[in-house]
Amino acid sequence: MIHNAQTPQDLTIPMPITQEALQIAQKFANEQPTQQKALQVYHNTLAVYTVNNYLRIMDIPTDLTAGDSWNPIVRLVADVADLWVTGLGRLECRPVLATNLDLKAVQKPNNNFWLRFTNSKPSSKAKFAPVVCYVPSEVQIGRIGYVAVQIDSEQQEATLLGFSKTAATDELLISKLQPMNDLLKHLEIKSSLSVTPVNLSQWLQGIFEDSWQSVESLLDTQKANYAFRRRVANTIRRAKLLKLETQLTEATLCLVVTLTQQKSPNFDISLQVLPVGGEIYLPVGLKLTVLDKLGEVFLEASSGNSDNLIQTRQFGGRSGEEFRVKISSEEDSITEDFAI
Amino acid sequence: MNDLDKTLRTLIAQACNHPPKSWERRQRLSEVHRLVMKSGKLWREYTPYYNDALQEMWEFCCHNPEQYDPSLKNVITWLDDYLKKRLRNFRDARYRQQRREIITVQTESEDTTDPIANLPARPDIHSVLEIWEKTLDWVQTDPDNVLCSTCFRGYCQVNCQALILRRFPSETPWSTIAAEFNLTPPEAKDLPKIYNRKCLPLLRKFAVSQGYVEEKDISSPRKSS
Repeated sequence: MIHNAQTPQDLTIPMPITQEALQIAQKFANEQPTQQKALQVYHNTLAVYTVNNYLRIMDIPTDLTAGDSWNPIVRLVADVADLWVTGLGRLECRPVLATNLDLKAVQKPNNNFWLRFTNSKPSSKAKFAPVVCYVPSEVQIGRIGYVAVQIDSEQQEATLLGFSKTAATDELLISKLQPMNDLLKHLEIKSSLSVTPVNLSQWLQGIFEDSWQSVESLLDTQKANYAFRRRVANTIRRAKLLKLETQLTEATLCLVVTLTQQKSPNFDISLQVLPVGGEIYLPVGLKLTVLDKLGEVFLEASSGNSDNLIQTRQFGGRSGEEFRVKISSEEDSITEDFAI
Repeated sequence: MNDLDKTLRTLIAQACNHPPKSWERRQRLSEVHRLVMKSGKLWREYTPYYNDALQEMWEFCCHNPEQYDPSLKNVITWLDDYLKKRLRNFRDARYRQQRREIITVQTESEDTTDPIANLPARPDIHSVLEIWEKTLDWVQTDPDNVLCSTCFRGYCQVNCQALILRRFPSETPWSTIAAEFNLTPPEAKDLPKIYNRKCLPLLRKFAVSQGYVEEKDISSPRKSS
C-alpha cells in the first residue's frame, strides 16, 4: 500500500500503468545517453502516458505523438513531459516518485542501457508521501497546465495527484494543487471559447457579448482619447481584453472593433490593438491579421519598436459575411471570429 | 443496494442527462471512475494485461454510460462484465500469439527452442546512436548558422548552440550557466525560458528535417477568452 502524497487524498485518481505504457517508456529510456537521463525519460513517459489514458477515458482528444516528450531529439536535450491536447496546447505531466528507487542501469555490451529497478529491502524501505512536484524551469512557460502524477512503476500504479494552471517556481506544493475535476473544467473553458462568432449586427441593437465592453471601461481616458479622437456618427465601438503569450511574459491587450453603419446592408469596420494597464507600448512584432471566410489574408498590420497602437484601415462588409481576426506573436496566437 | 451503488447509479443517470463531451458529463464520469477505483471492488486478476484491459473497459463504459441499464444489474457488475470481456480478448490474443511462436520455432528435429533466445539483437540501437551523433554534430557544426545567430538578448556568446551544448548530453544547471556568462539575476531567470522559446523550436525543425517526426500543425490558433 502506498501513501498518497499530501493532497486532499480523496480527490486523487488511481490510474494503473498499462503494459503498453511500460514498453514505450522502456524503449524511450533505452535511447538515452546516461542512466540519470534514462530514468528521467522513463518517468516522464509514464506520466504523460498515464494522463493521456485518463483524458482518453474522459473523451478529451489528444495527440500523444505531437508533443516534445515523443520527439526523440527534443526529449534528448530537454526535460519535457508534455502531452498535446488537441486544439488547446501542451499539458505538462510531471512525475512524482512514490518510492526511493535504486536504479541499476546495466550496461549491455552493445552500449545499450537497460533499466532495472531494485528495491533492496522492499519491506523496510519506507515509501514516502512526496510534498512537492518538481517542474524544470524550461517548461514553466508555454503550457496550458500542469498535472502531478505519482508514479510507482514497481507496483505498476500511478496516481493523478492534482493540477495547477501555472508553475512559477521549480516546485509545486502538492497540498496546493487543484483537484483533477478542475482540470476538466479548465480544458472545457479553453476549448469552448468563442465557438460562435461575435454577432456584429446585434451590436446595432445594443446587444453585446459579455466580454465586449465599452472602450472607456477597459482603457484609460488618455489612451482612448488618443486612439479614438475622431468621432463619427452611426458608430459603435466595443473592446475586449485578450491575453497573448509573448517571448517572456503574457501580455494583456485590448482589441477594439469600430463598426460604422453605411447604407444598409453595408458596414465599415476598423480594428485596433492597444496595450492596457501601465503598458505604454505593444510588444514588438505583434501582428494583427484579418482573414476572410476561406482563410485568405486580406489585411495585415504589425508593431515595430515603441508602437503604442496597431490598426487596420477601414474595410467594408455586408450583412451575412464572416471574417476572422488573428492577433499573433512569434510564440502564440489568438483568433476571434465575427459575423456581420 | 449499497450506498456506493446508489451513488454510482445517480452519477451515471446525471451523466446521461448532459451531452457528450460536456464538462458536466465528464465530471460525473470521472467521479464514477474515481469512486470505483478507490473502492477496490472491481474484478481483479493477476495477469500481465490486466491494466490494459481495465483501461479499455473504462474508455468504453465512460463513452457509453447510456448502455447501463439500472433495472438489470448494479454498476460494478456492469463494469465487471465489460472488464471480463476485455480480459478474455487479451487472453485469446495471447494464446493465438503463443501458437504462432511455437509453430515458427519448431526445428527439423521437432525440438522447440526458446523463442526469446532467437530474437535478433535490438534493431534500433544504431538509430539510437545515430540520433545522438547526428544531433550533437548538427549542434556543434551549425551548418546553417541558425543556432549561433539566435542569441539571448544582446549577448552573442549566449546563443542557442552554447546553451544546447551545456544542457546536452549532461544537464548543466541553469544557475551554473548563468554564472558562467555573468548574467544578472533577472536575466538568469529568463535563460531557461529562452531555451524553451528559441532553442526547442529549432530542434523541432531539425527533428522534422531528419525525418524523426512528422511535421504537425500544432500551432492551431487558440480562440480568445
